[in-house]
Amino acid sequence: MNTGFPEKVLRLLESVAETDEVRRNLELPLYESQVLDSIKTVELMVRIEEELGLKISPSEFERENWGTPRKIIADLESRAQVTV
Amino acid sequence: MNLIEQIDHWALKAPKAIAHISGDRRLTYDELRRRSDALAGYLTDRFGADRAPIAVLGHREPEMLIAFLGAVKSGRPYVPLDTVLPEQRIDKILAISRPALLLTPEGVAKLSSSAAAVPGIPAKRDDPFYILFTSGSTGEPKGVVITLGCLEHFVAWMLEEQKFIPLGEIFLNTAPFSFDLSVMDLYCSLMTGGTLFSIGRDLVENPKMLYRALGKSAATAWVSTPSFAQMCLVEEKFTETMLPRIRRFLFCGETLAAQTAARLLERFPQTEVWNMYGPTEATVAATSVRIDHSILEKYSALPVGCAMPGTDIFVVNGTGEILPANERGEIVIAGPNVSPGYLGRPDLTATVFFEHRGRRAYRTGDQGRFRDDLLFFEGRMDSQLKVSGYRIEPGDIEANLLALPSVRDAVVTPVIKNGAAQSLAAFVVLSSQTEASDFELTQSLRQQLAERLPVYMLPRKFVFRDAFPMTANGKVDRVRLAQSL
Repeated sequence: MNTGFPEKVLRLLESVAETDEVRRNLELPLYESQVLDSIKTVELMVRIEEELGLKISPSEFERENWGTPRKIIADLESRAQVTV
Repeated sequence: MNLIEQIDHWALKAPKAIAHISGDRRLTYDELRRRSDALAGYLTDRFGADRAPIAVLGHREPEMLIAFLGAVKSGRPYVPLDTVLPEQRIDKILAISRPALLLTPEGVAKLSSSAAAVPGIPAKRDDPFYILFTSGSTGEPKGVVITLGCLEHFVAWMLEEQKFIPLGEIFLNTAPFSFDLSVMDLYCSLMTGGTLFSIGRDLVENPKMLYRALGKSAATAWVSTPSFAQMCLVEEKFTETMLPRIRRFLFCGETLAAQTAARLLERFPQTEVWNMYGPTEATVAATSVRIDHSILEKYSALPVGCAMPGTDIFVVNGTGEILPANERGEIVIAGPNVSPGYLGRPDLTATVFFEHRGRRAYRTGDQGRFRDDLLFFEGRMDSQLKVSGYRIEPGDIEANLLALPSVRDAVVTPVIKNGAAQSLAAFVVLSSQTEASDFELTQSLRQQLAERLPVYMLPRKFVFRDAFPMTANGKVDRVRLAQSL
């Protein structure tokens, strides 16, 4: 795994969520604090595919897996490993 | 037969046909007729000659349909309210509309179960049918009054143009009943004996469930904002396989991007894509055009189409003169679909409604031009915004921000991406210094604002400033603020 991967994910998340709090607090509850909502989630999926080459199917997406920045990083890392 | 009689006649012709599906709940045409009659009987007994509106607060429950029809059958308009609205906003709307009663699904269930006699108040074309509230620039919502005649004119045109199959259609309902786009699917469905399939908030928030529900819906007619379809298109499986019976996509409420239409035609080659345009004040939509490959090849910005028969649409200059084709000006709509005005606001009504050759006319505040006999929408003349199809006055949000004790000054601007407003940003000057971080302040202001405004009106981004830049005229420089994003 590329050591820069979590950083790339955080950069994308920060850009979509429009707050650097996602970087400062990796346990931030993204949906409860309304940093992410359904439209932002889809936007993030599109950006992840464009910039990280990972395809996430919305019809198979579980919100709980992206509950915090840390969980998003872990989920994408596992997807990246499967892809490789 | 008027619109109400036409809806009721399905109860005799096909009593067991399903009028509405919401989650696990089903409502037949027979139940809809009997229970709306019973509710109308109750309302007539209780309120007599008082024709004050009936407010209905819920979220896509079958009881909302019963309440809407029950109210109009008793000679009273209804005010649809969605539970997504915060209490303070609902209170404002109730203060303006002064309803005789506020009905919830539980209340409707109780009041519509008795076997009361049919009230039999024949509705007249000029009677108010519903009152729909939209964002007002001063922080006060505006109630647009729509009459039975307005609605009948709109629905008759839809039925004529779209040729829906009686007892054969399933309409997707994606918009809350408090948003006038829902009037299109609700009444086109009820008038043709169709089934209205509601997509609730819980589904929109859970993509996995949403696609499952879309697949289960067996929908034949899709009604949504373009944003909603754009979101669905992210899923590759969103194709004819998921919606094998779909025959038409009907879009209204905001600009349809050519790319969205092209992707839909590619994924759903057997399906028609229609672009429509109209403000709430002219009953949902007043123009339409079928977007096919030839239109896509010809225009990069899609037209919104031709006026509905019986309604005139023209483009005027600043002094009200009608402009020739290709010239840009303000879009004016005149015809029986135009609202009589804003509830209890003759001042506001007089500024935008007028008589044109004996018909009601409305100055939309939208800019556009005719080209090749097709109308093209080209943005607003004022600061009004559309975000995800919702009509928003930045002044409404600013007034509500200024009402918070911690805010000294506030400016709200759109965040533009790919040429369209994607979300809102609020620039705020606080009343006093604070130790809190920008994120903490944002969370706190969003939370306070959420008690006053619906979620779709909450700015996503808050930017804190010590002072705002000023123009040479001493006004806040909104352009510079927006550019700083």
